[in-house]
Amino acid sequence: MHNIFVKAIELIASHDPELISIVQITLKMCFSSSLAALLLGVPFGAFLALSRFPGRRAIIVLNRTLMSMPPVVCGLICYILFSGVGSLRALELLYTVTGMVIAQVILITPIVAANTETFLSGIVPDLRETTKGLGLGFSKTLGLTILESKYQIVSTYLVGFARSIAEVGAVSMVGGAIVYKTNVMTTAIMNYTSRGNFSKAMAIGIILMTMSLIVNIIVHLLSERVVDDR
Amino acid sequence: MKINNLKKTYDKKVILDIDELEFEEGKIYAIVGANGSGKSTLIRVMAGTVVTDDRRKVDFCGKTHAYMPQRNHAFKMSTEKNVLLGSKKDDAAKERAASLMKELKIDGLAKAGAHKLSGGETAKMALCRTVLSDAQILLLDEPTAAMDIESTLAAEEIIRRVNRESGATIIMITHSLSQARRLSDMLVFMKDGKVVESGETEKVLSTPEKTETKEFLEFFGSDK
Ligand SMILES: Nc1ncnc2c1ncn2[C@@H]1O[C@H](COP(=O)(O)OP(=O)(O)O)[C@@H](O)[C@H]1O
Ligand SMILES: [Mg+2]
Repeated sequence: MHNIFVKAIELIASHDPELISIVQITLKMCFSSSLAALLLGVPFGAFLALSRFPGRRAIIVLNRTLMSMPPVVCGLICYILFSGVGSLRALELLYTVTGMVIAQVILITPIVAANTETFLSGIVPDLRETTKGLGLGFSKTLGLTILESKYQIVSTYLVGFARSIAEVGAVSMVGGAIVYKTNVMTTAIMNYTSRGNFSKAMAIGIILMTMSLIVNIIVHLLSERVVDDR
Repeated sequence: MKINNLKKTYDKKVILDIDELEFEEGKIYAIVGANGSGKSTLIRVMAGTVVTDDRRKVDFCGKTHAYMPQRNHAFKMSTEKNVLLGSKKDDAAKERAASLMKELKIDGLAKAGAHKLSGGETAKMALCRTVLSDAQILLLDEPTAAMDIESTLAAEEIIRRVNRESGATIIMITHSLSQARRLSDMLVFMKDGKVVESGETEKVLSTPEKTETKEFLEFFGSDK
């Protein structure tokens, strides 16, 4: 164990090109999918929080169910859609980073939407009474709401990022873990481990954990701000 | 200003059902009644934050209005910025804001984050910003409920002054009959979403006409 760990550190220090490629592909995927999920999930969550229509409750419950969808189920659905028999086969998304990003967006958007909905439902009733009471218009109210939500939005983004970087089920099914193309940190750990290359797997594990740690520290600091600011 | 046929139903329950209610310009109105009698709903309908069943708006005859809700949102910015939210941000407004905050003893908190204020301090901040909006009609939902006695009296003084100096009509909900007696010209007593009795405060308090009003006054006493 000790030996593996030392070797792993040496590997990280040696700038192994395969390692670098894996980290690059991972970051590209994570930034893309968490950003896309944010851009889709925040407006959707805001819509759920601010509107009142029949079936709204049902959509919120459905969204919460999607939040806990096992990644392999998402991977399966995307695989079927993207593969030779699927209706999206013409887009050639199977075994591409774009395909992986789409699968992850399906997984992360409900989380972003639910976080946004919960947060806004908490502040909006009083906020709206207050701004309306002062005669402030829609755009001013919207601006103030966004300002009130800024820490929440950043921390929601990072939660999505953390989910993306740690996810393996959907990504391995849709991406296929092709070296230098779709192999990301989680799939690489799986493959190196099954081939007995524990030090390389460990090297990636260390990088992954470090990134997760950084992200979670930021989320923690922000969530403290969110609470503090209430 | 006249209100008629205001009806609001929540979950098939009629919460507000007012045939007719008139507000005279330049007077201070106190709306009293038990919890759940529909006071807040009435003032929200007037403020336009709640729509009636037939989606009609209250006609203010071209007069401007501002509304201070029962629960006020403190924005994550300084108390001073919160206070100036509904008004011009020029020097005159800032000066007025400062003197109002001083009267309510929150001047020391001007630069502090408003979201860190206590309940009573938040209410003071909200009263300042509602007054600063310079509206001709002020709708206040229990503005002093969270304040201590000294602050309550200071707040009453501000309300009285706005009424006298700018001739604003004040429509406020209160739980305190003694506050209604101190401050208001007119009293509106509500029960189960209906206006049971309204008229000059002294008159309603000393010689109520309706049995419901008598019962309410006896139960709450006039020293509360
Ligand atoms: N949004 C709402 N949905 C359902 N019921 C409501 C809503 N708002 C108020 N009510 C009900 O209407 C009644 C009157 O409320 P309110 O006007 O706040 O009373 P008051 O201010 O006189 O205490 C209460 O029984 C309350 O539960
Ligand atoms: Mg109320």
